[in-house]
Amino acid sequence: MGKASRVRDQRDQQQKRQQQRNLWLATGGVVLAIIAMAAVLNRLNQAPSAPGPAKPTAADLNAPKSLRVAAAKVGFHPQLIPGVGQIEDKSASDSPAPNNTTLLKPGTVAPAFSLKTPEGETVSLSDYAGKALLIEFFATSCPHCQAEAPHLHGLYNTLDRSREQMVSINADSEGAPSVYAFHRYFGLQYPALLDLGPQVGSWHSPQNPGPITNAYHIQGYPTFYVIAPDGTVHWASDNEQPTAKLKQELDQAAGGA
Amino acid sequence: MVRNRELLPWVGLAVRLTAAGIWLFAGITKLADLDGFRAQVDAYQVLPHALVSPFSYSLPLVEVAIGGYLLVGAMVRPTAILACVLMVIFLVAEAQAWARGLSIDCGCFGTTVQTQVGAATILRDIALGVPSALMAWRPARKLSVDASLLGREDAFAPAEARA
Repeated sequence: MGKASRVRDQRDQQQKRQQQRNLWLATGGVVLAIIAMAAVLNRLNQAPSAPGPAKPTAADLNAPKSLRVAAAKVGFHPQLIPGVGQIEDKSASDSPAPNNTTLLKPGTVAPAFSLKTPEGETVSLSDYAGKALLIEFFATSCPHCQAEAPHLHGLYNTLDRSREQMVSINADSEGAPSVYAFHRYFGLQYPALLDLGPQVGSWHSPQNPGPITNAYHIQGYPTFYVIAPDGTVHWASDNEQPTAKLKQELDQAAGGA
Repeated sequence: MVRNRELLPWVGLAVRLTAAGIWLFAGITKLADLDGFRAQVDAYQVLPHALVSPFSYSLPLVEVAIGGYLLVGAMVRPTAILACVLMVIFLVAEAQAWARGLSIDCGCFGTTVQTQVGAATILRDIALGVPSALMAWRPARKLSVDASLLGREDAFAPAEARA
Protein backbone atom coordinates (compact mmCIF):
# COMPACT_ATOMS: atom_id res chain seq x y z
CA MET A 1 0.00 0.00 0.00
CA GLY A 2 2.78 2.39 1.06
CA LYS A 3 4.78 1.57 -2.04
CA ALA A 4 1.76 1.98 -4.30
CA SER A 5 1.06 5.39 -2.76
CA ARG A 6 4.71 6.44 -3.24
CA VAL A 7 4.59 5.40 -6.86
CA ARG A 8 1.37 7.35 -7.33
CA ASP A 9 2.93 10.38 -5.64
CA GLN A 10 5.96 10.14 -7.88
CA ARG A 11 3.76 9.88 -10.93
CA ASP A 12 1.75 12.89 -9.74
CA GLN A 13 4.94 14.89 -9.20
CA GLN A 14 6.23 13.92 -12.61
CA GLN A 15 2.94 14.90 -14.20
CA LYS A 16 2.98 18.29 -12.45
CA ARG A 17 6.56 18.92 -13.56
CA GLN A 18 5.52 18.06 -17.10
CA GLN A 19 2.54 20.42 -16.86
CA GLN A 20 4.78 23.18 -15.53
CA ARG A 21 7.15 22.66 -18.45
CA ASN A 22 4.20 22.84 -20.81
CA LEU A 23 3.01 26.07 -19.20
CA TRP A 24 6.44 27.66 -19.57
CA LEU A 25 6.60 26.45 -23.17
CA ALA A 26 3.18 27.97 -23.82
CA THR A 27 4.38 31.22 -22.25
CA GLY A 28 7.40 31.17 -24.52
CA GLY A 29 4.97 30.74 -27.41
CA VAL A 30 2.93 33.73 -26.19
CA VAL A 31 6.10 35.86 -25.98
CA LEU A 32 7.13 34.83 -29.50
CA ALA A 33 3.61 35.56 -30.77
CA ILE A 34 3.75 39.05 -29.20
CA ILE A 35 7.13 39.73 -30.79
CA ALA A 36 5.88 38.48 -34.18
CA MET A 37 2.66 40.54 -34.01
CA ALA A 38 4.55 43.68 -32.95
CA ALA A 39 6.99 43.13 -35.82
CA VAL A 40 4.12 42.74 -38.30
CA LEU A 41 2.41 45.88 -36.98
CA ASN A 42 5.71 47.72 -37.21
CA ARG A 43 6.17 46.59 -40.79
CA LEU A 44 2.63 47.59 -41.74
CA ASN A 45 3.21 51.04 -40.26
CA GLN A 46 6.53 51.97 -41.81
CA ALA A 47 7.56 55.61 -41.81
CA PRO A 48 6.64 57.49 -44.97
CA SER A 49 9.60 58.22 -47.21
CA ALA A 50 10.96 61.73 -46.90
CA PRO A 51 11.20 63.99 -49.94
CA GLY A 52 14.66 64.83 -51.27
CA PRO A 53 16.14 68.28 -50.72
CA ALA A 54 14.52 71.13 -52.65
CA LYS A 55 16.45 72.95 -55.38
CA PRO A 56 17.98 76.17 -54.05
CA THR A 57 16.20 79.35 -55.13
CA ALA A 58 17.82 82.62 -56.17
CA ALA A 59 17.16 83.96 -52.65
CA ASP A 60 18.98 80.97 -51.17
CA LEU A 61 22.00 81.65 -53.34
CA ASN A 62 22.02 85.27 -52.15
CA ALA A 63 22.29 84.19 -48.50
CA PRO A 64 25.65 84.89 -46.85
CA LYS A 65 28.19 82.24 -47.79
CA SER A 66 29.16 81.69 -44.16
CA LEU A 67 25.52 80.79 -43.39
CA ARG A 68 25.29 78.40 -46.33
CA VAL A 69 28.54 76.70 -45.30
CA ALA A 70 27.45 76.43 -41.65
CA ALA A 71 24.04 75.05 -42.73
CA ALA A 72 25.69 72.43 -44.95
CA LYS A 73 27.78 71.34 -41.95
CA VAL A 74 24.60 70.67 -39.94
CA GLY A 75 23.88 67.80 -42.33
CA PHE A 76 20.14 68.08 -41.79
CA HIS A 77 17.99 65.32 -43.23
CA PRO A 78 14.41 64.35 -42.31
CA GLN A 79 13.93 61.44 -39.90
CA LEU A 80 10.28 60.54 -40.30
CA ILE A 81 8.61 58.02 -38.02
CA PRO A 82 5.55 55.83 -38.68
CA GLY A 83 2.25 57.59 -38.31
CA VAL A 84 3.47 61.04 -39.28
CA GLY A 85 2.24 62.90 -42.33
CA GLN A 86 -1.10 61.10 -42.48
CA ILE A 87 -3.52 63.82 -41.46
CA GLU A 88 -2.35 66.70 -43.66
CA ASP A 89 -4.34 65.61 -46.70
CA LYS A 90 -7.52 64.91 -44.74
CA SER A 91 -10.49 67.26 -44.46
CA ALA A 92 -10.72 70.14 -41.99
CA SER A 93 -13.19 68.23 -39.84
CA ASP A 94 -10.49 65.61 -39.11
CA SER A 95 -8.46 68.19 -37.19
CA PRO A 96 -7.34 66.62 -33.89
CA ALA A 97 -8.20 68.35 -30.62
CA PRO A 98 -5.23 70.10 -29.00
CA ASN A 99 -3.26 68.19 -26.36
CA ASN A 100 -1.99 71.41 -24.84
CA THR A 101 -4.74 72.99 -22.75
CA THR A 102 -2.73 76.11 -21.93
CA LEU A 103 -2.58 77.56 -25.44
CA LEU A 104 -3.70 81.19 -25.67
CA LYS A 105 -7.45 81.41 -26.07
CA PRO A 106 -9.18 83.02 -29.05
CA GLY A 107 -9.61 86.75 -28.49
CA THR A 108 -6.38 87.06 -26.46
CA VAL A 109 -3.99 89.71 -27.75
CA ALA A 110 -1.15 87.81 -29.44
CA PRO A 111 2.21 88.47 -27.71
CA ALA A 112 4.27 90.84 -29.86
CA PHE A 113 7.57 89.60 -31.29
CA SER A 114 10.46 90.98 -33.22
CA LEU A 115 12.75 88.17 -34.27
CA LYS A 116 15.54 87.63 -36.77
CA THR A 117 15.62 85.29 -39.74
CA PRO A 118 18.76 83.15 -40.20
CA GLU A 119 19.86 85.72 -42.80
CA GLY A 120 19.64 88.47 -40.15
CA GLU A 121 16.47 90.28 -41.26
CA THR A 122 14.08 91.39 -38.52
CA VAL A 123 10.46 90.26 -38.73
CA SER A 124 7.84 91.54 -36.28
CA LEU A 125 4.26 90.59 -35.56
CA SER A 126 3.31 94.20 -36.31
CA ASP A 127 4.55 93.68 -39.91
CA TYR A 128 1.44 91.57 -40.42
CA ALA A 129 -1.13 93.96 -38.94
CA GLY A 130 -4.25 93.91 -41.09
CA LYS A 131 -3.57 90.38 -42.37
CA ALA A 132 -4.40 86.93 -41.07
CA LEU A 133 -1.17 85.24 -39.99
CA LEU A 134 -0.44 81.54 -39.53
CA ILE A 135 2.41 80.98 -37.08
CA GLU A 136 3.96 77.55 -36.89
CA PHE A 137 6.16 76.78 -33.89
CA PHE A 138 8.52 74.02 -34.95
CA ALA A 139 11.75 72.19 -34.24
CA THR A 140 14.02 70.83 -36.95
CA SER A 141 14.40 67.48 -35.17
CA CYS A 142 10.62 66.99 -34.82
CA PRO A 143 9.39 64.31 -37.28
CA HIS A 144 5.89 65.79 -37.22
CA CYS A 145 7.26 69.19 -38.27
CA GLN A 146 9.29 67.51 -41.01
CA ALA A 147 6.16 65.75 -42.24
CA GLU A 148 4.21 69.03 -42.14
CA ALA A 149 6.84 71.03 -44.04
CA PRO A 150 5.96 70.01 -47.65
CA HIS A 151 2.28 70.61 -46.91
CA LEU A 152 2.96 74.07 -45.46
CA HIS A 153 5.05 74.78 -48.55
CA GLY A 154 2.02 73.90 -50.68
CA LEU A 155 -0.32 75.96 -48.49
CA TYR A 156 1.91 79.05 -48.73
CA ASN A 157 1.79 78.85 -52.51
CA THR A 158 -2.02 78.97 -52.47
CA LEU A 159 -2.36 82.02 -50.18
CA ASP A 160 -3.52 85.45 -51.31
CA ARG A 161 -0.59 87.07 -49.55
CA SER A 162 -2.18 90.50 -49.50
CA ARG A 163 -4.63 89.03 -46.93
CA GLU A 164 -2.95 85.93 -45.48
CA GLN A 165 0.63 85.27 -44.45
CA MET A 166 2.73 82.60 -42.73
CA VAL A 167 5.83 82.52 -40.53
CA SER A 168 7.47 79.76 -38.57
CA ILE A 169 9.22 80.27 -35.27
CA ASN A 170 11.80 77.81 -34.00
CA ALA A 171 10.75 76.51 -30.60
CA ASP A 172 14.00 74.77 -29.63
CA SER A 173 16.35 77.80 -29.52
CA GLU A 174 18.11 76.46 -32.59
CA GLY A 175 20.68 78.71 -34.20
CA ALA A 176 20.66 80.13 -37.71
CA PRO A 177 22.48 77.23 -39.47
CA SER A 178 20.00 74.54 -38.38
CA VAL A 179 16.90 76.65 -39.05
CA TYR A 180 18.26 77.74 -42.42
CA ALA A 181 19.17 74.13 -43.31
CA PHE A 182 15.63 72.95 -42.45
CA HIS A 183 13.86 75.65 -44.45
CA ARG A 184 16.17 75.25 -47.42
CA TYR A 185 15.84 71.46 -47.40
CA PHE A 186 12.07 71.77 -47.80
CA GLY A 187 12.28 74.86 -50.02
CA LEU A 188 10.06 76.88 -47.65
CA GLN A 189 9.62 80.46 -48.84
CA TYR A 190 7.93 81.99 -45.79
CA PRO A 191 10.20 83.42 -43.09
CA ALA A 192 11.73 81.18 -40.43
CA LEU A 193 12.44 83.06 -37.21
CA LEU A 194 14.99 82.40 -34.50
CA ASP A 195 13.73 82.56 -30.91
CA LEU A 196 16.85 82.05 -28.87
CA GLY A 197 16.83 81.09 -25.21
CA PRO A 198 19.80 81.18 -22.82
CA GLN A 199 21.65 78.53 -24.86
CA VAL A 200 21.76 78.25 -28.63
CA GLY A 201 20.73 74.81 -29.84
CA SER A 202 20.88 73.00 -33.15
CA TRP A 203 19.32 70.12 -35.08
CA HIS A 204 21.63 67.81 -33.10
CA SER A 205 21.10 69.50 -29.76
CA PRO A 206 17.72 71.09 -28.96
CA GLN A 207 17.78 73.62 -26.14
CA ASN A 208 15.25 75.23 -23.82
CA PRO A 209 12.79 77.44 -25.68
CA GLY A 210 13.18 81.18 -26.13
CA PRO A 211 10.92 83.91 -24.70
CA ILE A 212 8.41 84.10 -27.57
CA THR A 213 7.90 80.32 -27.58
CA ASN A 214 7.20 80.54 -23.85
CA ALA A 215 4.92 83.56 -24.28
CA TYR A 216 2.77 81.47 -26.66
CA HIS A 217 2.71 78.57 -24.13
CA ILE A 218 4.25 76.04 -26.50
CA GLN A 219 4.66 72.53 -25.11
CA GLY A 220 5.06 70.45 -28.25
CA TYR A 221 5.55 70.85 -31.95
CA PRO A 222 4.23 71.65 -34.31
CA THR A 223 1.90 74.14 -32.65
CA PHE A 224 -0.12 76.45 -34.84
CA TYR A 225 -1.63 79.86 -34.13
CA VAL A 226 -3.77 81.85 -36.51
CA ILE A 227 -3.63 85.53 -35.62
CA ALA A 228 -6.51 87.71 -36.79
CA PRO A 229 -5.84 91.00 -38.66
CA ASP A 230 -6.52 92.90 -35.40
CA GLY A 231 -3.66 91.10 -33.64
CA THR A 232 -5.75 88.77 -31.49
CA VAL A 233 -5.59 84.99 -31.40
CA HIS A 234 -8.18 83.53 -33.76
CA TRP A 235 -7.36 79.82 -33.36
CA ALA A 236 -4.65 77.64 -31.86
CA SER A 237 -3.85 73.96 -31.81
CA ASP A 238 -0.91 71.63 -31.53
CA ASN A 239 -0.29 68.39 -33.47
CA GLU A 240 -0.04 67.99 -37.22
CA GLN A 241 -3.12 69.48 -38.85
CA PRO A 242 -5.04 68.95 -42.06
CA THR A 243 -3.87 71.64 -44.48
CA ALA A 244 -7.56 72.31 -45.21
CA LYS A 245 -8.07 73.19 -41.53
CA LEU A 246 -5.18 75.67 -41.53
CA LYS A 247 -6.54 77.27 -44.71
CA GLN A 248 -10.06 77.36 -43.28
CA GLU A 249 -8.91 79.12 -40.11
CA LEU A 250 -6.77 81.57 -42.10
CA ASP A 251 -9.73 82.37 -44.38
CA GLN A 252 -12.07 82.85 -41.43
CA ALA A 253 -9.55 85.09 -39.65
CA ALA A 254 -9.01 87.13 -42.82
CA GLY A 255 -12.75 87.72 -42.92
CA GLY A 256 -14.56 85.40 -45.23
CA ALA A 257 -13.66 83.70 -48.49
CA MET B 1 -16.07 33.31 11.47
CA VAL B 2 -15.53 29.97 9.77
CA ARG B 3 -17.87 31.03 7.01
CA ASN B 4 -15.88 34.26 6.52
CA ARG B 5 -12.66 32.30 6.17
CA GLU B 6 -14.28 30.02 3.64
CA LEU B 7 -15.15 33.08 1.63
CA LEU B 8 -11.52 34.22 1.44
CA PRO B 9 -10.59 32.21 -1.70
CA TRP B 10 -13.54 33.83 -3.47
CA VAL B 11 -12.34 37.26 -2.34
CA GLY B 12 -8.92 36.38 -3.74
CA LEU B 13 -10.53 35.28 -7.00
CA ALA B 14 -12.42 38.59 -7.17
CA VAL B 15 -9.16 40.53 -6.69
CA ARG B 16 -7.45 38.44 -9.40
CA LEU B 17 -10.31 38.97 -11.83
CA THR B 18 -10.28 42.71 -11.05
CA ALA B 19 -6.56 42.85 -11.88
CA ALA B 20 -7.23 40.83 -15.04
CA GLY B 21 -10.03 43.21 -16.05
CA ILE B 22 -7.83 46.28 -15.55
CA TRP B 23 -5.03 44.88 -17.73
CA LEU B 24 -7.37 43.56 -20.43
CA PHE B 25 -9.15 46.93 -20.59
CA ALA B 26 -5.83 48.81 -20.73
CA GLY B 27 -4.53 46.59 -23.53
CA ILE B 28 -7.69 46.41 -25.63
CA THR B 29 -8.32 50.17 -25.52
CA LYS B 30 -4.75 50.75 -26.77
CA LEU B 31 -5.13 48.14 -29.52
CA ALA B 32 -8.32 49.90 -30.62
CA ASP B 33 -6.31 52.97 -31.67
CA LEU B 34 -2.66 52.02 -32.07
CA ASP B 35 -1.79 55.18 -34.01
CA GLY B 36 -3.30 57.32 -31.28
CA PHE B 37 -1.42 55.40 -28.61
CA ARG B 38 1.86 55.76 -30.53
CA ALA B 39 1.32 59.53 -30.63
CA GLN B 40 0.65 59.50 -26.87
CA VAL B 41 3.90 57.58 -26.22
CA ASP B 42 5.78 59.99 -28.49
CA ALA B 43 4.38 62.97 -26.53
CA TYR B 44 6.12 61.73 -23.35
CA GLN B 45 9.43 62.64 -25.09
CA VAL B 46 11.24 59.86 -23.23
CA LEU B 47 11.93 57.13 -25.78
CA PRO B 48 14.20 57.64 -28.80
CA HIS B 49 12.10 57.97 -31.97
CA ALA B 50 13.31 54.58 -33.21
CA LEU B 51 11.85 52.86 -30.14
CA VAL B 52 8.49 54.63 -30.00
CA SER B 53 6.78 52.31 -32.54
CA PRO B 54 8.12 48.95 -31.29
CA PHE B 55 7.19 49.93 -27.73
CA SER B 56 3.74 51.19 -28.72
CA TYR B 57 2.93 48.02 -30.64
CA SER B 58 4.26 45.57 -28.03
CA LEU B 59 2.90 47.10 -24.83
CA PRO B 60 -0.83 46.59 -25.55
CA LEU B 61 -0.17 42.96 -26.51
CA VAL B 62 1.80 42.41 -23.30
CA GLU B 63 -1.04 43.99 -21.31
CA VAL B 64 -3.62 41.73 -22.93
CA ALA B 65 -1.39 38.71 -22.22
CA ILE B 66 -1.07 39.75 -18.55
CA GLY B 67 -4.85 40.15 -18.36
CA GLY B 68 -5.40 36.76 -20.00
CA TYR B 69 -2.94 34.98 -17.70
CA LEU B 70 -4.51 36.52 -14.60
CA LEU B 71 -7.98 35.69 -15.90
CA VAL B 72 -7.26 31.99 -16.20
CA GLY B 73 -4.88 32.01 -13.25
CA ALA B 74 -1.81 30.80 -15.07
CA MET B 75 1.54 31.62 -13.45
CA VAL B 76 -0.24 34.11 -11.21
CA ARG B 77 2.77 35.27 -9.19
CA PRO B 78 5.27 35.81 -12.06
CA THR B 79 2.52 37.51 -14.10
CA ALA B 80 1.57 39.77 -11.20
CA ILE B 81 5.23 40.66 -10.60
CA LEU B 82 5.59 41.61 -14.28
CA ALA B 83 2.40 43.69 -13.94
CA CYS B 84 3.87 45.52 -10.93
CA VAL B 85 7.14 46.20 -12.77
CA LEU B 86 5.18 47.68 -15.69
CA MET B 87 3.08 49.74 -13.32
CA VAL B 88 6.22 51.20 -11.69
CA ILE B 89 7.59 52.08 -15.16
CA PHE B 90 4.29 53.82 -16.01
CA LEU B 91 4.34 55.76 -12.75
CA VAL B 92 7.93 56.92 -13.33
CA ALA B 93 7.03 58.02 -16.89
CA GLU B 94 3.99 59.93 -15.65
CA ALA B 95 5.88 61.52 -12.75
CA GLN B 96 8.68 62.78 -14.99
CA ALA B 97 6.16 64.19 -17.50
CA TRP B 98 4.30 65.90 -14.67
CA ALA B 99 7.55 67.22 -13.17
CA ARG B 100 8.57 68.63 -16.56
CA GLY B 101 5.22 70.38 -16.81
CA LEU B 102 4.14 68.54 -19.97
CA SER B 103 0.43 68.89 -20.65
CA ILE B 104 -0.04 65.53 -22.33
CA ASP B 105 -2.59 62.80 -22.33
CA CYS B 106 -1.78 59.91 -20.00
CA GLY B 107 -2.41 57.25 -22.65
CA CYS B 108 -3.11 54.79 -19.83
CA PHE B 109 -6.21 53.55 -21.65
CA GLY B 110 -5.25 54.62 -25.15
CA THR B 111 -7.52 57.27 -26.60
CA THR B 112 -10.65 55.72 -25.07
CA VAL B 113 -10.26 57.38 -21.66
CA GLN B 114 -8.35 60.63 -21.99
CA THR B 115 -6.88 62.23 -18.89
CA GLN B 116 -4.09 64.74 -18.63
CA VAL B 117 -0.99 63.47 -16.83
CA GLY B 118 -0.80 64.82 -13.28
CA ALA B 119 -1.19 63.91 -9.63
CA ALA B 120 -4.67 62.50 -10.30
CA THR B 121 -3.50 60.00 -12.95
CA ILE B 122 -0.56 58.98 -10.77
CA LEU B 123 -2.85 58.32 -7.78
CA ARG B 124 -5.34 56.51 -10.03
CA ASP B 125 -2.61 54.24 -11.42
CA ILE B 126 -1.33 53.46 -7.92
CA ALA B 127 -4.88 52.42 -7.00
CA LEU B 128 -5.21 50.35 -10.18
CA GLY B 129 -1.92 48.64 -9.35
CA VAL B 130 -3.11 47.46 -5.93
CA PRO B 131 -4.89 44.28 -7.17
CA SER B 132 -1.79 43.26 -9.14
CA ALA B 133 0.46 43.97 -6.15
CA LEU B 134 -1.83 41.83 -3.97
CA MET B 135 -1.56 38.98 -6.48
CA ALA B 136 2.25 39.22 -6.44
CA TRP B 137 2.19 39.07 -2.65
CA ARG B 138 -0.54 36.43 -2.22
CA PRO B 139 -1.45 34.73 -5.51
CA ALA B 140 -5.14 33.80 -5.58
CA ARG B 141 -5.50 30.42 -7.24
CA LYS B 142 -9.20 29.64 -6.81
CA LEU B 143 -10.44 28.31 -10.18
CA SER B 144 -7.01 28.68 -11.74
CA VAL B 145 -4.75 26.83 -14.16
CA ASP B 146 -2.05 26.98 -11.48
CA ALA B 147 -4.25 24.99 -9.06
CA SER B 148 -5.83 22.53 -11.48
CA LEU B 149 -2.75 21.69 -13.56
CA LEU B 150 0.11 22.26 -11.15
CA GLY B 151 -1.65 21.71 -7.83
CA ARG B 152 -0.43 25.07 -6.54
CA GLU B 153 -1.94 26.30 -3.28
CA ASP B 154 -4.29 29.23 -3.12
CA ALA B 155 -2.65 31.84 -0.88
CA PHE B 156 -6.12 33.03 0.08
CA ALA B 157 -7.27 29.60 1.26
CA PRO B 158 -7.43 29.15 5.06
CA ALA B 159 -4.25 27.60 6.47
CA GLU B 160 -5.90 24.30 7.47
CA ALA B 161 -7.22 23.84 3.92
CA ARG B 162 -3.70 24.29 2.57
CA ALA B 163 -2.06 21.89 4.99
